[in-house]
Amino acid sequence: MSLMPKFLIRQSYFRLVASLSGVFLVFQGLVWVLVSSIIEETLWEANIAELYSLTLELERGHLHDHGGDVLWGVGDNIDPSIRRAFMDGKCEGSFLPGFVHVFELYEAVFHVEDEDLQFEDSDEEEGSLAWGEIFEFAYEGESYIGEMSSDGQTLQYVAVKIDHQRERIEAVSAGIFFTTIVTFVSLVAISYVIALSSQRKVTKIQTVLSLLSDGNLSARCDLPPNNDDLSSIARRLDDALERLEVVTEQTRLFGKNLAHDLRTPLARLRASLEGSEKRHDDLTAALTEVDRIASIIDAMMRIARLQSEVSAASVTPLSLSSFAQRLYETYEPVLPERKTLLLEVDGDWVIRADEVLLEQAIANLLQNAIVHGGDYITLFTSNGVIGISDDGPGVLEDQFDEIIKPSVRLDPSRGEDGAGLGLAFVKAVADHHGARLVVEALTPRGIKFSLQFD
Amino acid sequence: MARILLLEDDAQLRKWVAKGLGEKGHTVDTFFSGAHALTAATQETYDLLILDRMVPDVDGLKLLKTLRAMGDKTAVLLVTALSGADERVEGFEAGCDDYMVKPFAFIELLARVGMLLGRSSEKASGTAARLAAGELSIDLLSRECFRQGQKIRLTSTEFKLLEYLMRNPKRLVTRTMLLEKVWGLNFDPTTSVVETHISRLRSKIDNPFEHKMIETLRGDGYVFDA
Repeated sequence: MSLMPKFLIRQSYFRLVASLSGVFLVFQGLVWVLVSSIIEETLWEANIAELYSLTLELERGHLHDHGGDVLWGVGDNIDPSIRRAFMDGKCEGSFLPGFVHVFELYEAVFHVEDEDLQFEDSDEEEGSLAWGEIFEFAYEGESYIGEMSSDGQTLQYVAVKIDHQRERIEAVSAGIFFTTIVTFVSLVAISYVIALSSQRKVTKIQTVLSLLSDGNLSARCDLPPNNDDLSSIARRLDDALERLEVVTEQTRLFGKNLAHDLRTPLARLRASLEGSEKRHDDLTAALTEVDRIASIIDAMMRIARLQSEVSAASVTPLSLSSFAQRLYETYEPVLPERKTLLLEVDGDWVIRADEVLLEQAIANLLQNAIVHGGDYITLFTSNGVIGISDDGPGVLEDQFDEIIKPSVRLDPSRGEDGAGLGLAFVKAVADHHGARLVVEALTPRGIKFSLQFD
Repeated sequence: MARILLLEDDAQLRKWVAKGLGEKGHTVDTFFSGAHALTAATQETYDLLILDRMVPDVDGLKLLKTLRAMGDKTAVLLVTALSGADERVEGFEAGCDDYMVKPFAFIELLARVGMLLGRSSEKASGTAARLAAGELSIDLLSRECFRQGQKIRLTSTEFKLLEYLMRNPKRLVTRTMLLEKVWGLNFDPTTSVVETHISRLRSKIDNPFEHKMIETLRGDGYVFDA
């Protein structure tokens, strides 16, 4: 399983939580930046204040003992290594204008024996030079901020260790960072679990829907009772299927009984016609009519059955070329003298189909072509396609959709009985197989019916 | 001739079938209730049972299943108003020997009854590589046909048709039966498939000769007689 299964990315729940988590991450990032800078600022100001008070204490000559956290020195007592550290440190803002090269000056001060050196090019008031520069520097592995100042004669410095402050800022940052990550990971994990559980429901619903589209009305989601939206959709789907199944079953039984109720009197009628002592042409014609009615009932039942249920049981791989060849052998001799059946086989394609139904459909198309079509009828097969074309008068293009509707059989203008029903049957067979019935006009004349399988 | 049990709930049809079969010399016991028919079928010996599939109380299919479960192997012709392929399969799975859809011509019933009775009295000619009838013979392996020593070229359909006729000599065979057995079609392709192929077959095996082996009976049936 890959880290992020595909189904998760398609899941709307998961998408929602993932995008919210993303927003949360960005927001936490901003909080982190803000909080860190506020803490740093506050600490900095506190340090500055402390430095000033220390400097004051130093100037007044009574610097209290602050333990190891404070470094200080005055005049010649200044340790060269401290000086070095100051010089390698970072100057944090100048309190005196134009005092950029402060250390060069201090260098000068330290190296010149004359302690009375005056800063003549300074803007400061002569003799009372009291200036400060704040430095951040490292000394013996610890971080300090310090201030160096002078009254114009003596140089002094004082510095405070800030390592524990840094640690505090880092702890706060780490805290924010850690809680962010933990929250993010738990959000993703929780949403993953929720998504998995809802995915199971979605998968179940999808399975039921696809079974339904295959005509299986007995499929149910059967999700455990739960109040979330998916469970409620599934429950409604189950309810609807329940009702649909009942109605379909009633319709099927009704059709069955109707067929039975029609066929038995027909059988009786046929029996009395056949049993009649006086046989003459009228009786023969009546018998033919009985058979015709029976075959129309048959055709209607077949269409109804095909439309109401999809049993894939008799669907097997079928080689279109040998199937077409067999149909050709069966039906070619049947054609009236003046008509010719041609066979066009383009390659050998194997489809999955119910052979008996497909033969019935092609036989219907062929019968249509014999009755309504031209003298040359073609049985053709190519890439997943099988059909019948003829060079007859055809049908007007705007009637293509109409002629395959079962209702067209009611159109008295079609004359020959069963013709419209035949095409409706072909359409039902196509639908049953998930294939398309395509009607095309041929030039200069003729019509082509193809069953196109995927 | 034969003793036949007929289960049919429609009085008129029952009378018609019984009368027709009686005229052919069969003894017919008629029943309109499945329960009574079942009792009779278990107590008496019949050569053939003709069962209507949909009758009140015990229907034909249930009766058939019960009998088969009891080990009864009497030939059964199921007569029904249900024409679907599934229902046909259901009938054969229950153990019927033949299946006929209402309404039917009497000749159809007669032909099927004849075939079923013949089946139970005669052993089929088996899987011999050669079938012979009078001056006509066919080789089932090389798919060749000879009459009076002359080789006759047949298409595969014509060969199958002839083979079926030769295996059922002197017996009425109807158009519907040929469609079912030779072409494997349980629907009427609405074209004259059977008539055309019979006529082609005739033009090859009968027309050049004096004795005609394939006879047409009342339009819908054929009898092969060497």
